[in-house]
Amino acid sequence: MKKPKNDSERLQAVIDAVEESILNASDEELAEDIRLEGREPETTAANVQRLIATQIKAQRQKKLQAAKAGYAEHRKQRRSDRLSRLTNSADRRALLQQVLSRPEGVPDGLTMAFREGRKMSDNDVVGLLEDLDELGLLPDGDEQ
Amino acid sequence: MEVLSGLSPADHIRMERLARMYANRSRGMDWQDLLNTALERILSGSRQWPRQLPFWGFLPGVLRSVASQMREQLGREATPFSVLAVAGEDPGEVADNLAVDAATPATILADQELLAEIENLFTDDELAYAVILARQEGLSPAETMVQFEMTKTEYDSAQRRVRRAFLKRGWVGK
Repeated sequence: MKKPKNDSERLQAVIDAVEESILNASDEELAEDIRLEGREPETTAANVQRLIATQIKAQRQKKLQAAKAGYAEHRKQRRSDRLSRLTNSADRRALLQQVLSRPEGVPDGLTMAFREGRKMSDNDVVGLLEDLDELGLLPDGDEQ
Repeated sequence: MEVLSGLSPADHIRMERLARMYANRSRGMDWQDLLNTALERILSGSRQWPRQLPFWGFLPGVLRSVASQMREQLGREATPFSVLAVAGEDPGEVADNLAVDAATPATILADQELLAEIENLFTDDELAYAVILARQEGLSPAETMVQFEMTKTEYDSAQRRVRRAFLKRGWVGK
Protein backbone atom coordinates (compact mmCIF):
# COMPACT_ATOMS: atom_id res chain seq x y z
CA MET A 1 0.00 0.00 0.00
CA LYS A 2 1.20 3.51 -0.85
CA LYS A 3 2.01 5.71 2.13
CA PRO A 4 -0.28 8.76 2.23
CA LYS A 5 1.57 12.07 1.81
CA ASN A 6 -0.81 14.61 3.37
CA ASP A 7 -3.88 14.81 5.62
CA SER A 8 -6.32 14.48 2.70
CA GLU A 9 -4.62 11.27 1.60
CA ARG A 10 -4.47 10.03 5.20
CA LEU A 11 -8.20 10.66 5.54
CA GLN A 12 -8.81 8.84 2.25
CA ALA A 13 -6.81 5.87 3.58
CA VAL A 14 -9.10 5.70 6.62
CA ILE A 15 -12.16 5.97 4.37
CA ASP A 16 -10.75 3.15 2.22
CA ALA A 17 -10.57 0.97 5.33
CA VAL A 18 -14.21 1.73 6.13
CA GLU A 19 -15.14 1.00 2.50
CA GLU A 20 -13.46 -2.42 2.72
CA SER A 21 -15.28 -3.06 5.94
CA ILE A 22 -18.64 -2.23 4.34
CA LEU A 23 -17.91 -4.41 1.31
CA ASN A 24 -16.77 -7.35 3.45
CA ALA A 25 -19.50 -7.11 6.10
CA SER A 26 -22.15 -9.82 6.13
CA ASP A 27 -25.78 -8.97 5.36
CA GLU A 28 -26.67 -9.47 9.03
CA GLU A 29 -23.88 -7.14 10.19
CA LEU A 30 -25.05 -4.38 7.88
CA ALA A 31 -28.64 -4.74 9.05
CA GLU A 32 -27.36 -4.54 12.62
CA ASP A 33 -25.44 -1.33 11.77
CA ILE A 34 -28.68 0.28 10.64
CA ARG A 35 -30.53 -0.84 13.77
CA LEU A 36 -27.74 0.63 15.92
CA GLU A 37 -28.44 3.96 14.22
CA GLY A 38 -32.05 3.66 15.34
CA ARG A 39 -33.46 2.88 11.90
CA GLU A 40 -35.12 -0.11 10.27
CA PRO A 41 -33.06 -2.03 7.69
CA GLU A 42 -36.19 -2.77 5.64
CA THR A 43 -36.99 0.94 5.33
CA THR A 44 -33.42 1.80 4.37
CA ALA A 45 -33.36 -0.93 1.71
CA ALA A 46 -36.75 0.17 0.35
CA ASN A 47 -35.55 3.79 0.07
CA VAL A 48 -32.51 2.79 -1.96
CA GLN A 49 -34.58 0.45 -4.12
CA ARG A 50 -36.93 3.37 -4.85
CA LEU A 51 -33.97 5.58 -5.87
CA ILE A 52 -32.75 2.90 -8.24
CA ALA A 53 -36.20 2.29 -9.74
CA THR A 54 -36.69 6.03 -10.31
CA GLN A 55 -33.34 6.34 -12.05
CA ILE A 56 -33.95 3.28 -14.23
CA LYS A 57 -37.34 4.65 -15.28
CA ALA A 58 -35.88 8.10 -16.03
CA GLN A 59 -33.11 6.59 -18.15
CA ARG A 60 -35.57 4.40 -20.07
CA GLN A 61 -37.72 7.44 -20.80
CA LYS A 62 -34.69 9.40 -21.98
CA LYS A 63 -33.71 6.59 -24.33
CA LEU A 64 -37.28 6.29 -25.60
CA GLN A 65 -37.50 10.04 -26.26
CA ALA A 66 -34.17 9.95 -28.08
CA ALA A 67 -35.32 7.00 -30.20
CA LYS A 68 -38.60 8.75 -31.05
CA ALA A 69 -36.80 11.96 -32.01
CA GLY A 70 -34.34 9.99 -34.13
CA TYR A 71 -37.13 8.14 -35.92
CA ALA A 72 -39.09 11.35 -36.57
CA GLU A 73 -35.96 12.96 -38.00
CA HIS A 74 -35.34 9.90 -40.17
CA ARG A 75 -38.89 10.00 -41.58
CA LYS A 76 -38.66 13.72 -42.22
CA GLN A 77 -35.35 13.26 -44.03
CA ARG A 78 -36.78 10.50 -46.23
CA ARG A 79 -39.78 12.65 -47.19
CA SER A 80 -37.59 15.64 -47.94
CA ASP A 81 -35.22 13.50 -49.99
CA ARG A 82 -38.13 12.22 -52.00
CA LEU A 83 -39.42 15.72 -52.67
CA SER A 84 -36.05 16.91 -53.87
CA ARG A 85 -35.76 13.94 -56.25
CA LEU A 86 -38.99 14.92 -58.04
CA THR A 87 -37.45 17.06 -60.72
CA ASN A 88 -40.31 17.32 -63.22
CA SER A 89 -43.74 18.86 -62.99
CA ALA A 90 -45.67 15.68 -63.85
CA ASP A 91 -44.07 13.68 -61.03
CA ARG A 92 -44.77 16.43 -58.51
CA ARG A 93 -48.42 16.66 -59.60
CA ALA A 94 -48.76 12.86 -59.42
CA LEU A 95 -47.46 12.89 -55.86
CA LEU A 96 -49.84 15.70 -54.95
CA GLN A 97 -52.73 13.77 -56.47
CA GLN A 98 -51.73 10.66 -54.52
CA VAL A 99 -51.63 12.53 -51.23
CA LEU A 100 -54.87 14.45 -51.74
CA SER A 101 -56.74 11.36 -52.89
CA ARG A 102 -56.47 9.92 -49.39
CA PRO A 103 -56.91 13.11 -47.46
CA GLU A 104 -56.65 11.87 -43.84
CA GLY A 105 -55.20 14.77 -41.92
CA VAL A 106 -54.99 17.06 -44.94
CA PRO A 107 -56.60 20.46 -44.20
CA ASP A 108 -60.03 20.79 -45.90
CA GLY A 109 -59.02 23.93 -47.81
CA LEU A 110 -56.33 22.06 -49.67
CA THR A 111 -58.48 19.11 -50.75
CA MET A 112 -61.38 21.42 -51.74
CA ALA A 113 -59.14 23.51 -53.96
CA PHE A 114 -57.78 20.40 -55.58
CA ARG A 115 -61.21 18.78 -56.15
CA GLU A 116 -62.66 21.93 -57.62
CA GLY A 117 -60.02 21.68 -60.30
CA ARG A 118 -58.60 25.06 -59.52
CA LYS A 119 -55.66 25.69 -61.79
CA MET A 120 -52.38 25.35 -60.04
CA SER A 121 -49.07 26.59 -61.32
CA ASP A 122 -45.91 24.53 -60.87
CA ASN A 123 -44.92 26.92 -58.11
CA ASP A 124 -48.29 26.35 -56.39
CA VAL A 125 -47.73 22.56 -56.55
CA VAL A 126 -44.21 22.84 -55.13
CA GLY A 127 -45.42 25.17 -52.38
CA LEU A 128 -48.28 22.82 -51.53
CA LEU A 129 -46.00 19.78 -51.41
CA GLU A 130 -43.62 21.66 -49.12
CA ASP A 131 -46.54 22.58 -46.84
CA LEU A 132 -47.67 18.94 -46.77
CA ASP A 133 -44.08 17.88 -46.06
CA GLU A 134 -43.95 20.30 -43.12
CA LEU A 135 -47.17 18.77 -41.82
CA GLY A 136 -45.67 15.30 -42.17
CA LEU A 137 -48.33 14.31 -44.69
CA LEU A 138 -46.08 13.22 -47.53
CA PRO A 139 -45.74 9.43 -47.71
CA ASP A 140 -42.39 7.78 -47.14
CA GLY A 141 -40.80 6.17 -50.15
CA ASP A 142 -41.90 2.70 -49.07
CA GLU A 143 -45.54 3.75 -48.67
CA GLN A 144 -46.10 4.09 -52.41
CA MET B 1 -29.32 -2.20 -15.68
CA GLU B 2 -30.08 -5.87 -14.95
CA VAL B 3 -27.57 -5.89 -12.10
CA LEU B 4 -29.16 -2.83 -10.50
CA SER B 5 -32.66 -4.28 -10.85
CA GLY B 6 -31.58 -7.56 -9.30
CA LEU B 7 -29.89 -6.28 -6.12
CA SER B 8 -31.03 -7.76 -2.82
CA PRO B 9 -32.25 -5.69 0.17
CA ALA B 10 -28.84 -6.30 1.80
CA ASP B 11 -27.16 -4.92 -1.32
CA HIS B 12 -29.38 -1.83 -1.09
CA ILE B 13 -28.18 -1.31 2.47
CA ARG B 14 -24.56 -1.80 1.38
CA MET B 15 -25.11 0.83 -1.30
CA GLU B 16 -26.59 3.26 1.22
CA ARG B 17 -23.62 2.70 3.56
CA LEU B 18 -21.14 3.50 0.79
CA ALA B 19 -23.04 6.60 -0.37
CA ARG B 20 -23.28 7.91 3.20
CA MET B 21 -19.60 7.29 3.74
CA TYR B 22 -18.53 9.21 0.65
CA ALA B 23 -21.02 12.01 1.29
CA ASN B 24 -19.49 12.25 4.77
CA ARG B 25 -16.32 13.79 3.50
CA SER B 26 -18.07 17.07 2.89
CA ARG B 27 -20.62 18.53 5.23
CA GLY B 28 -23.70 19.65 3.39
CA MET B 29 -23.50 16.86 0.82
CA ASP B 30 -26.63 14.73 0.70
CA TRP B 31 -25.98 11.00 0.29
CA GLN B 32 -29.12 10.58 -1.81
CA ASP B 33 -27.98 13.29 -4.24
CA LEU B 34 -24.64 11.53 -4.44
CA LEU B 35 -26.18 8.11 -5.08
CA ASN B 36 -28.64 9.52 -7.61
CA THR B 37 -25.87 11.18 -9.60
CA ALA B 38 -23.75 8.02 -9.51
CA LEU B 39 -26.69 5.89 -10.70
CA GLU B 40 -27.49 8.35 -13.46
CA ARG B 41 -23.89 8.17 -14.72
CA ILE B 42 -23.87 4.38 -14.63
CA LEU B 43 -27.25 3.98 -16.33
CA SER B 44 -26.67 6.63 -19.00
CA GLY B 45 -23.28 5.11 -19.82
CA SER B 46 -21.47 8.38 -19.13
CA ARG B 47 -19.44 6.33 -16.65
CA GLN B 48 -18.36 3.18 -18.49
CA TRP B 49 -18.49 -0.05 -16.54
CA PRO B 50 -15.51 -2.25 -17.50
CA ARG B 51 -16.83 -5.75 -18.28
CA GLN B 52 -14.18 -7.51 -16.21
CA LEU B 53 -14.98 -5.51 -13.06
CA PRO B 54 -17.59 -6.84 -10.61
CA PHE B 55 -20.32 -4.37 -9.62
CA TRP B 56 -18.96 -3.92 -6.10
CA GLY B 57 -15.54 -3.17 -7.52
CA PHE B 58 -17.04 -0.54 -9.80
CA LEU B 59 -19.64 1.30 -7.71
CA PRO B 60 -17.30 2.63 -4.97
CA GLY B 61 -15.09 4.26 -7.61
CA VAL B 62 -18.08 6.02 -9.18
CA LEU B 63 -19.30 7.22 -5.78
CA ARG B 64 -15.82 8.43 -4.89
CA SER B 65 -15.45 10.33 -8.16
CA VAL B 66 -18.92 11.95 -7.94
CA ALA B 67 -18.32 12.84 -4.28
CA SER B 68 -14.99 14.40 -5.16
CA GLN B 69 -16.60 16.55 -7.86
CA MET B 70 -19.47 17.58 -5.57
CA ARG B 71 -16.98 18.36 -2.83
CA GLU B 72 -14.92 20.57 -5.10
CA GLN B 73 -18.11 22.30 -6.15
CA LEU B 74 -19.13 22.89 -2.53
CA GLY B 75 -15.61 24.07 -1.72
CA ARG B 76 -15.59 26.53 -4.60
CA GLU B 77 -18.96 27.92 -3.52
CA ALA B 78 -17.73 28.25 0.06
CA THR B 79 -14.40 29.82 -0.85
CA PRO B 80 -14.76 32.72 -3.27
CA PHE B 81 -11.46 33.90 -4.69
CA SER B 82 -10.35 36.77 -6.91
CA VAL B 83 -8.70 36.28 -10.26
CA LEU B 84 -6.58 38.77 -12.13
CA ALA B 85 -7.07 37.97 -15.80
CA VAL B 86 -4.50 38.94 -18.42
CA ALA B 87 -5.83 41.30 -21.08
CA GLY B 88 -8.00 39.43 -23.55
CA GLU B 89 -8.80 36.55 -21.19
CA ASP B 90 -12.21 35.89 -19.70
CA PRO B 91 -11.82 36.09 -15.88
CA GLY B 92 -14.62 33.53 -15.39
CA GLU B 93 -12.92 31.01 -17.65
CA VAL B 94 -9.56 31.55 -15.94
CA ALA B 95 -11.20 30.99 -12.55
CA ASP B 96 -12.88 27.77 -13.73
CA ASN B 97 -9.61 26.42 -15.11
CA LEU B 98 -7.82 27.17 -11.86
CA ALA B 99 -10.51 25.52 -9.78
CA VAL B 100 -10.78 22.24 -11.73
CA ASP B 101 -9.38 19.30 -9.73
CA ALA B 102 -7.73 21.63 -7.24
CA ALA B 103 -8.12 21.06 -3.52
CA THR B 104 -9.31 24.32 -2.03
CA PRO B 105 -8.18 25.70 1.34
CA ALA B 106 -11.68 24.91 2.60
CA THR B 107 -11.57 21.23 1.58
CA ILE B 108 -8.03 20.79 2.95
CA LEU B 109 -9.08 22.30 6.28
CA ALA B 110 -12.24 20.16 6.36
CA ASP B 111 -10.14 17.02 5.78
CA GLN B 112 -7.75 17.98 8.61
CA GLU B 113 -10.65 18.62 10.99
CA LEU B 114 -12.36 15.36 10.12
CA LEU B 115 -9.15 13.38 10.54
CA ALA B 116 -8.53 14.96 13.98
CA GLU B 117 -12.14 14.23 14.94
CA ILE B 118 -11.76 10.57 13.96
CA GLU B 119 -8.50 10.20 15.88
CA ASN B 120 -9.93 11.86 19.00
CA LEU B 121 -12.91 9.57 18.98
CA PHE B 122 -10.76 6.44 19.27
CA THR B 123 -8.07 7.54 21.69
CA ASP B 124 -9.70 5.29 24.34
CA ASP B 125 -10.02 2.32 21.99
CA GLU B 126 -6.45 1.14 21.44
CA LEU B 127 -7.15 -1.39 18.71
CA ALA B 128 -9.46 0.85 16.70
CA TYR B 129 -6.96 3.69 17.08
CA ALA B 130 -4.19 1.39 15.86
CA VAL B 131 -6.24 0.41 12.79
CA ILE B 132 -6.76 4.09 11.95
CA LEU B 133 -3.13 5.06 12.46
CA ALA B 134 -1.88 2.02 10.53
CA ARG B 135 -4.02 2.97 7.55
CA GLN B 136 -2.66 6.48 7.66
CA GLU B 137 0.84 4.99 7.50
CA GLY B 138 -0.12 2.97 4.44
CA LEU B 139 -0.08 -0.41 6.22
CA SER B 140 -2.22 -3.23 4.85
CA PRO B 141 -4.53 -5.19 7.20
CA ALA B 142 -1.97 -8.04 7.34
CA GLU B 143 0.89 -5.65 8.15
CA THR B 144 -1.27 -3.93 10.78
CA MET B 145 -2.01 -7.23 12.52
CA VAL B 146 1.70 -8.14 12.61
CA GLN B 147 2.88 -4.72 13.73
CA PHE B 148 0.28 -4.32 16.48
CA GLU B 149 0.16 -8.03 17.40
CA MET B 150 -3.55 -8.33 16.67
CA THR B 151 -5.46 -11.48 15.85
CA LYS B 152 -7.73 -11.50 12.79
CA THR B 153 -10.76 -11.45 15.09
CA GLU B 154 -9.41 -8.45 16.96
CA TYR B 155 -8.66 -6.64 13.72
CA ASP B 156 -12.11 -7.35 12.26
CA SER B 157 -13.78 -6.29 15.48
CA ALA B 158 -11.78 -3.04 15.64
CA GLN B 159 -12.53 -2.28 12.02
CA ARG B 160 -16.23 -2.90 12.66
CA ARG B 161 -16.16 -0.38 15.52
CA VAL B 162 -14.48 2.17 13.25
CA ARG B 163 -17.08 1.57 10.54
CA ARG B 164 -20.01 1.88 12.91
CA ALA B 165 -18.66 4.98 14.59
CA PHE B 166 -17.78 6.55 11.25
CA LEU B 167 -21.29 6.15 9.89
CA LYS B 168 -23.21 6.62 13.13
CA ARG B 169 -21.47 9.87 14.00
CA GLY B 170 -22.93 11.44 10.90
CA TRP B 171 -19.51 12.36 9.60
CA VAL B 172 -20.72 11.05 6.37
CA GLY B 173 -23.59 13.44 5.99
CA LYS B 174 -27.23 13.35 6.91
